[in-house]
Amino acid sequence: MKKSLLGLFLLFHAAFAMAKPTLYVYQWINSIPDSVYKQFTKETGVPVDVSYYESNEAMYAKLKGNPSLAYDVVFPSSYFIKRMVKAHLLDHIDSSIMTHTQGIYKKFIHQPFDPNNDYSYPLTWGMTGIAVNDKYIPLSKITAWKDLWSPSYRHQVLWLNDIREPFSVALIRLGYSVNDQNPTHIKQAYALLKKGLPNVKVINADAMESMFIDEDVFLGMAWSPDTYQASQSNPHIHFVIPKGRYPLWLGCMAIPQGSRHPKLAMTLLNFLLRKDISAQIITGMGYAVTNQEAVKSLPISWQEKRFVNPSKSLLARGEIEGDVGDKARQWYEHYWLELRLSV
Amino acid sequence: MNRLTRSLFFLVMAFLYIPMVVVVLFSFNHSLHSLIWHGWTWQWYSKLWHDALLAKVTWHSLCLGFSAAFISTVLGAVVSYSLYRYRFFGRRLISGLLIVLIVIPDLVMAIALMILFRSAHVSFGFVTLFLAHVSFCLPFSVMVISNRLSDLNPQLLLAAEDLGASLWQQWWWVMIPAMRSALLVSALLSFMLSFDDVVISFFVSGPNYVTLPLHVYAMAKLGANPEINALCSLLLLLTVAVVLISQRLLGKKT
Repeated sequence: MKKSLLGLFLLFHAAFAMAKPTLYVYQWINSIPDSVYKQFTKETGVPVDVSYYESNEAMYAKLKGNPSLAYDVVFPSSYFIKRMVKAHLLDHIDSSIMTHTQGIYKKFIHQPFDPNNDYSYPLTWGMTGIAVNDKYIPLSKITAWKDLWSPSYRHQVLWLNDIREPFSVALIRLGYSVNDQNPTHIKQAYALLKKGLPNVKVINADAMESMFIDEDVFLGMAWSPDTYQASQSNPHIHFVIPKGRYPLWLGCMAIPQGSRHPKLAMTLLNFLLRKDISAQIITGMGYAVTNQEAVKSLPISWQEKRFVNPSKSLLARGEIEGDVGDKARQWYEHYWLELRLSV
Repeated sequence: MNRLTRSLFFLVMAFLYIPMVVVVLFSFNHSLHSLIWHGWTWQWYSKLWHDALLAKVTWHSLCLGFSAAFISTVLGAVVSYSLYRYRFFGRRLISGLLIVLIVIPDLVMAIALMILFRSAHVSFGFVTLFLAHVSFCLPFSVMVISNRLSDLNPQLLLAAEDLGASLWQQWWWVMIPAMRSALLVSALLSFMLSFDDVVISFFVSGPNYVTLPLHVYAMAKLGANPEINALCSLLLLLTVAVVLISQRLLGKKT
């Protein structure tokens, strides 16, 4: 009995090793369209098998639990990269394979969380701004982050249910960096957020789109691609980029330690950065991509959209969300819990 | 029933079933995001029909569910039979351990299985999912089948033996007919347990074998999607069908 079981395992192992390579991609749901992978298979003959996660935390838990899992490509947010590198979850990327990186905005590479881009390359990016429904609130009234604190919007505002975003907004209002690690500053941000609580109607991120479309909320923090999607269903919804700084996040690509075909995975990363492929990612889900060449090949209606084709000065105002370290993260988590409990 | 109990009864029923009605209703809603009614449509069902990925993960879940249900029922029958028929050292310990497996939190079992498979260097995929699902279905199978056996007249087996039936004949002519309804219930229960497991599957699944609940979980987390409503409605229909069929089968045979 034992022997036959062992034999069965060996058989499975052998079958696994002998099969022609398939790339296993683990990605955010609703991010990169399938058509992109179909084209990769057409060009290289390598099939791509996609499975999905819904949060950085879920992906991290899965890989941390079993680093030998055979995923070849994952897409962590910028502020998760350093944490994953520290936990030895990511593999080195050979920069000589990455030939399509020259189009990437200079601002997005060599970030403190991965100074030489040894472990990650940014593929998509987005802004955190304010979504407004102009049927209820004139666009001219909302120009700055402090407007979310205005007493005229008592019990009307949506906050994103994400530890980083509300804190980033508060830190920006206080003049600190969105990646601030100083406990006193974090506490000040907490106090400022607490002052804004009476304005909060709901704290949510998952159903944000439908809440805006159904006009359950008219005003709130929002991510640029989600707001774009919502505006497709309800044209009254607009994305306002507030004066001054705004939080900017990067969707990065990385190769987990367990990858069985790291070289092939790098080819896929490079492929995704290619101009025409990146352009498909923009039109598919409304994500902005880091390759600035991509948007130039799209129709003028896309080129006019500021969140996919930002001006130099607009881009300069964005502050990239990086790693804050374990210690500061605990402070953020502590204060976030207090805020959530006092809603 | 007096008026109070009757209205209470309807209240409880409404509480239980209104959410399902809402899901079915919204699977026909002509709007991608909205929870406001925008008119009837079949489009989510046709989209569901053409969704290759969803078809693949559903197929995965069905294969896993059927194989786990089959094996756990077979093993469950053997274990229950041994516990019923023989008196041996550790018998009570084994039945106790099986009950522990029922009450143990899923999360504990998930982590334990993950560590076990990792240290045994089994590649994560169908094999790990299958072993995990059999191990959490087995205690339920044993419980259902043992329960049935405890009602069985022990003289029956002795009589069969007396009449010269071999062990296989005893199984085929006596045990299996006597256990038939319990076997069916055990298989259905195991299938259902396997088909909707998220926690344990999350930890023991690999990149090449994702099950339906894991996929739905990821889909549902980022915004309600009418395709999920359509899928849930179909599963609901399937469940009702299975329950009706099993009730008819059981009603006839026992």
